[in-house]
This record gives sequence, structure tokens and C-alpha cells, in this order.
Amino acid sequence: MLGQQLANGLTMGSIYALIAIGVSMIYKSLGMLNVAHGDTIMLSAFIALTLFDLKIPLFIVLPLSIVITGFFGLFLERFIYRRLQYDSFTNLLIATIGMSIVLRNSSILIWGAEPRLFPSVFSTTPIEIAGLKILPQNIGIIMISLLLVAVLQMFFYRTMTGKQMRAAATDAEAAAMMGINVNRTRFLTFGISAALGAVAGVLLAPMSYASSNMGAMVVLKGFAAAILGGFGSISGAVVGGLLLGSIEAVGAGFISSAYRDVIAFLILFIVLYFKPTGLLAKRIEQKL
Amino acid sequence: MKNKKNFISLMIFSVLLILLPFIVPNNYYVQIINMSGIYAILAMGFNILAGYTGQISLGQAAFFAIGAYTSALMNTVFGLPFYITFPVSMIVSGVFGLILAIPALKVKGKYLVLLTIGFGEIVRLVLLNWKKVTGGASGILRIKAPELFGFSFNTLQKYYFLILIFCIILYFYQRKLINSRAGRALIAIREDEAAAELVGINLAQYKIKAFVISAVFCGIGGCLYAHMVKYVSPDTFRYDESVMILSMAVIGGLGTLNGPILGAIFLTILPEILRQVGDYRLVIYGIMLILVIMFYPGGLISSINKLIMRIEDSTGRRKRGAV
Repeated sequence: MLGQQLANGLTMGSIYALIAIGVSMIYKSLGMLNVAHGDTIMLSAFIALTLFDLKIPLFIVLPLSIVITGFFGLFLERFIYRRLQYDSFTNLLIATIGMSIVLRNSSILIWGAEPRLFPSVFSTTPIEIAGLKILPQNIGIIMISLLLVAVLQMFFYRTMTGKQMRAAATDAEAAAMMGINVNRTRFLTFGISAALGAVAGVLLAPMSYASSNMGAMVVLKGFAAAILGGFGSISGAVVGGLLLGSIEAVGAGFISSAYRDVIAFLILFIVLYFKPTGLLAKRIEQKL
Repeated sequence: MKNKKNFISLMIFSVLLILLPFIVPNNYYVQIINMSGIYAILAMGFNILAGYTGQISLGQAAFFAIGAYTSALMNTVFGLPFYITFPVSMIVSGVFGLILAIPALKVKGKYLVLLTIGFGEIVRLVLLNWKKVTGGASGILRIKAPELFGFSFNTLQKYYFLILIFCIILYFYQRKLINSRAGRALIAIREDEAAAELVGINLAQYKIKAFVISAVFCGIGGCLYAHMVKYVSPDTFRYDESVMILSMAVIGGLGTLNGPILGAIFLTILPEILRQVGDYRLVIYGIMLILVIMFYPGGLISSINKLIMRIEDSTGRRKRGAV
């Protein structure tokens, strides 16, 4: 029973990790809490469904919808967020809130308010591993997420563009003086973050349904995971996500599944109380 | 001259406020006006915390819910009247404000936003799942209309005046607060925490004060809401509601006395005006939110003030020219 819950928890946790990476990337480079990230998750699921309705095979549909959503993220940065003042935290927050309202309600207009079933690439017969019955879907989701995390790690630490993006996120002004095009790195950050949200969306949709508010709760969990991991590093987000997913799954098993979400937010509360900068953060930021 | 002019405009404004519920065509509009009054209270409370103290909270709906549920439970279970449910809702939401303030003292910026979101969700989920007490998703029905000194506020028109009175009291309270020593301390904290601490302002004490006052404002709003709608359910107090309260204050003008009220009225009435466009209503609403922030980053009140100044400027010049 415990192992089963842990497997489910790690599955959700790896999705939280992808979301956490997406939101903390944007926060670090633009100082923006992207509330509309949850709607990016929803958008990719619906784009995939639309393509699937056109009789395009699933293994083309999924990457295609991720790419389309990524481009959509680029579009948003270029034509909307770039026109705002990057120094006002509340104004940026309101802009993403507005964007979230627009996206969610547009999706209701286009795809309807009814939740829709989402096809899964994985078979539904559980596999027995060490006495545990585990769905291939769970294994698939965890593998895909970990692979993606490894690729991202490589990108950010081994390629020139990735290094530039990290530099610009750490100190935009200094990076600009070194000849890095900060506008371009911000632009790319948005694209990658949206694409990560899209991956989370197509992984999440088969487990529940595709619906206009499917991203609303998971994005809050993604934020919580980002905080647990210290809001900065990729490895932190992964640890935070997996930790949050497994604690809430096991906790829900012990107490009641109705309180699953309460457990997640209580963890957030406790961590912020005892360690305000997250579990993995090294130092407390303080500007004088 | 100036005083006389101000006095006349104040008189016209008061007469309009008193006549308002009788001018509008039907009760539906009175309900909307009443809701914008309640939102004005919530936005004022948020403004004290976020606009003046710089502590952005996305958990205001939780205090709104606590106020509403406290009144609803006391009224339906124990049959207590409004003049008891009202102060108790204030106290209970204030206590919860204190509970949130304790961890909130330690965090800033994004951490605070997420902490308050977490708080809001915990409160909503407890209301949703604690079925024995709160009635779960179906909520609490049959809350009675308030009665004060033998006068029953049983119609929306009468209720309007109850809300109006509270709006006015709270407006003057916040004005007095902001212009006091405490208010200046709050603004100092917003501007620069380290500098504020350096000049001897007790950060913890004033931040707790701001959290509690803003929670009490929300509790008052919640109590008024519960007795007006006569029904509460966890669905009303979603995270979206906190977002709405934040948007109202920011769109109106964060850190100004009148801005949040203007924003509350604007954002409550806007969706109703947009009803004519049917399904596109909320999409247009979201777009307008983005446009206002893009073109009026200081909120609507700042652009209105500029407009008034320009008009006064031009009329003044004309007069001078004539002389």
C-alpha cells in the first residue's frame, strides 16, 4: 500500500518538478510570478486533443503540441510581457492574472467547458515490480521527466546559450555589459518555460481529464515545489517536486484523500516558517 | 471659494449616494451596487496591507470566508443576531490574521505571495471537507437578514445603506490610520524595511498590525456578504476571489485612499456591462485587465487625477487670460 502510494506520489511529483522548473526559470530571469503557467499546461493538452481529432497519430501529436505551446510562450513574451515595466512585481502579477483569465475563458469558448478524455500512449495493464503493481504510465512519466531534466541541465551548463541565460538571470545588467542580449535570453526563457508546461500538460491530461481548469491546482503545487527546492536550481525543483508529490500521496493515504491538497499547502507553510528560503537554498537574500 | 466648491460637490455626491438604490431600474442592479460596496471594503483592507505596508497577499479570500462562515454558523446554528455575529466575525478573522502574520513576518516578495495562496487554499479546503460543521460543498443556507434597533434590513435597498455606512466608517478609519504615526510607519516599511528598522520602527509589531487590520476588514466584508446573500459555500472563496481583490486594488491604484474603492466599483460593474457580449465577457475582461496595467501602471486613479489637474489647469489659464 505504501509503495503504491509512493509510486503515485513520485509520478505526480515529477510533473510538479517540471512545473516548478518552468515557473522558477521565469521568476529568476524576469522577476515575475507567472500565474498563467497553469493555463499553458491546459493549452497544450487541448492543442494535442485538437490535433488528435484531425487523425494525426499520437506520437506526432504530443511533440507537436509541445512545440506549438512553446512558440505561444515566445509570442506572449514578445508582444505582451515585454511591453510592461519589468520592475513592478505587482503589475507583472496582474498582467499574468489577466492572461490567465483570457486563456482559461478562451479555452472554454473554443473547446467547451466539459472535461474531455485524453488518450494515453501507455497501456493500462499494470506491471509487477517487486510485488508492487505499477502502471506503465507512472514509469513513463517519471522517465520522461527525468530525461527532460537531464537535457535541461546539459543545456544550461554546457551550451553557450544556456550559460548566457543563466548569466542574464543572475544579473541582467552585468550580463548586458558582457555583451549578452538580455532581451533574447528572456524571450528564450519564456519559450522553454511554456514548452516545459506543455510537457506537464500532456503528461497530466491522461491521468485526469483535459479541462479548462486542469492547470489551476497543479500550478500552485508547482509553486510550492519550487519553494521547497529553493526557487532557483533545476535540481532543487526536482527534489522539491518529488518530495511534495510523495509526502502528499503518503499523507493522503494515512489521513484522508480529501485532505491531499491541504497536506501540500501545510508543508509549504511549515517549510516557509522554519526555513524561509526553501530546503535547498544556501543563503538568505538580503539587499540593503 | 475652493471650500465652497468642495462643499457643493460633496453635497451633490452625498445626495447621489443616498438616491442611488432608488434610481436604478431593478433589484438586480442594487445587488451589484451592494456587491461593489462589499468589494470596496475588501479592497481597502487589502490596500492597507499591500498598498501601504508592501505585503502582497493572495489569501484575502480566506479572511472573507472566515468572516462569512463565522456569521453564517452563529446565525444558523445558535440563532444569534447580527449585532453579535458582526463583532465576533471581526474578532475571529482578526485572530486568523494574526495566525497568518506569524509565518508571514519571516518572508517577503514571492514567498509571501505563495504563503498567502497556501493559507487561502487551506482555509477553502477545510471549509469544503469539514462537512459536519460547514456543510461541505453545499454550504450553509437560510442565514437571516440583520436586524438593528428593531429595524430589519430585509430588502436590498435597505441593505445598501448598511453597507454604505460601513464603507464610510472604514474609509475614514483607513484615512485616519494612514495619516497617523502608525500609518507613516507602515509606509516606511513598504519603502525600505532596513531603513525603517534603523530609525526604530518595530517591524514585527507594525506588520502584524497591518495583517490583522486587513483581515478584520475582510471579516467585516464577509459578515455583510453572508447576511446579504443569506447563503455561503466554499465555491465563493476560491483563490480567484483573492486575485479579484488584488486586481481591484491595483487597477484602482495601489497605495492610494480612493483608488481601491474605484477599482472595486469598476471591476464589479465591468463584467455586468460586458454581459451584452455574452460568452466573450470574461475574455474581454482579462484583456482589459492587461491593457489597464500596460497603459496605466499607476492605476486608474492616477490618470483621473492627472485629468482633473489638466482640466483645472486649463480653466484656470482661461480665467487668467480673460482677466
